[in-house]
Amino acid sequence: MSGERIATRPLPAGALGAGWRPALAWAIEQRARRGELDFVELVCESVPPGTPPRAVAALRDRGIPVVVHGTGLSLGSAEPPEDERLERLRALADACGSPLVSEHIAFVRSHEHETGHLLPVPRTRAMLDVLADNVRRAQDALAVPLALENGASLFRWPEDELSWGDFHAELLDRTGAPLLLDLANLWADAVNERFDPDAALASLPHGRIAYVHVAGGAWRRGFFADTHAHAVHEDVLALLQRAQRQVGDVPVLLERDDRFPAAAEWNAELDAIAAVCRGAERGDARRRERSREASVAAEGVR
Amino acid sequence: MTLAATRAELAARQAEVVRHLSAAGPLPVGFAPGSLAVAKDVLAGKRRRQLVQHLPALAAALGSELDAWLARFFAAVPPRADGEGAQDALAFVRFVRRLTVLPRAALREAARCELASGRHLVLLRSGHGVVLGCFGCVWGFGVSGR
Repeated sequence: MSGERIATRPLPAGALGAGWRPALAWAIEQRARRGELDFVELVCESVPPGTPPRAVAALRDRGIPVVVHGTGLSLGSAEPPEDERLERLRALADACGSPLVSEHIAFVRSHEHETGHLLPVPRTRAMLDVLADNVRRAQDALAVPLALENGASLFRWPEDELSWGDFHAELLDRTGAPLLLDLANLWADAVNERFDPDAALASLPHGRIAYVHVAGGAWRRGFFADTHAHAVHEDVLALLQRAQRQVGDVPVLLERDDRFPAAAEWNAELDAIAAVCRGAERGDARRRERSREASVAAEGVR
Repeated sequence: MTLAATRAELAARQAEVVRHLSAAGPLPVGFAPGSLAVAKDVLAGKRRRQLVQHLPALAAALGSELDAWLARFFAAVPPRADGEGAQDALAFVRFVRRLTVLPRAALREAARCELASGRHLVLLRSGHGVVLGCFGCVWGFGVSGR
């Protein structure tokens, strides 16, 4: 199974993206016109079935990749994903010409109640069995690769058997799916559960990272919640810089869902993310240069 | 254990968690109460924001009483399984209308919610006011302007 579905990176290395929201449509359009935005993400449940907003269709027509992002498939539910929701993802991905679709490793409903929120799944082998089967069903229904996104865990299950890194690495191995690495969620989990985010990152198969999410959050009574309504935390930007050094020049996308800032502030946040990525690249180049010089010097000594 | 049995066991546990977070279910066995309480607050805050976005006139009419109304509503009505914010808004406006008199703007908003849910003709009465809605349009008669 593993290996069969492994996709190459469908987005260009170093690409900078933004989550498309109606409140940001103008700022996104302007930034794309300046050539400073390389891809966008469209939330499937926020638009009528199979119908991207005109502004998103215009971006698609100008060659800007549109990734369809699901929030309601509930891959982590005990029940298999619903055919109607899969069809909606497939139809929108078709309409947008999406290179891939992404969804969360989370559940949003039980058989009786909707929560309207992405809830964490238990990190157990039994959960991996269910998730692997649910993901396989989704992969079979979609025409493009399905990237799996690590969710944020405001609470943990008493049943947990596996570490964050082992659970995600095994899921990717069993499904062959690419990873949408949400660094803000990883950082939030790391501070809430007190583990080392860099070690967790090191345990993932880096070649499987399709792209990276960053977003803002806020402290709630000692826990860090991924609100998507605040600026990106400086520690998440620092983790992004270290991640770029660990995993290479992966595409990065900024998400914002609420308390939308003015266009200038939003642009400044994207510029800061781009600068962090460029800084990591420059650091890598300097390290490569120093290493080359050291090799040359060593050759000279010999 | 078969996959079906694993799914059944997981479904029971997930239902316990969801009942606790989105309705008035007890704390599921083994979970840390502090982190679940924070998660419960986050979910309620998100549901509140969606309702206010759908029902600005009702939110304005309820004013400082909005949070008390929402607390009663959340305790009585869990989020809908279809997950549509508009349906939760319809449930909330019906909940409030059953218990109190709505001012003109909120009653019109209630009629628009009813029409958006697929009804073709709506006649709502609250206090001395009446609102008629059909074909996407809403008319008010003798409604208080509170």
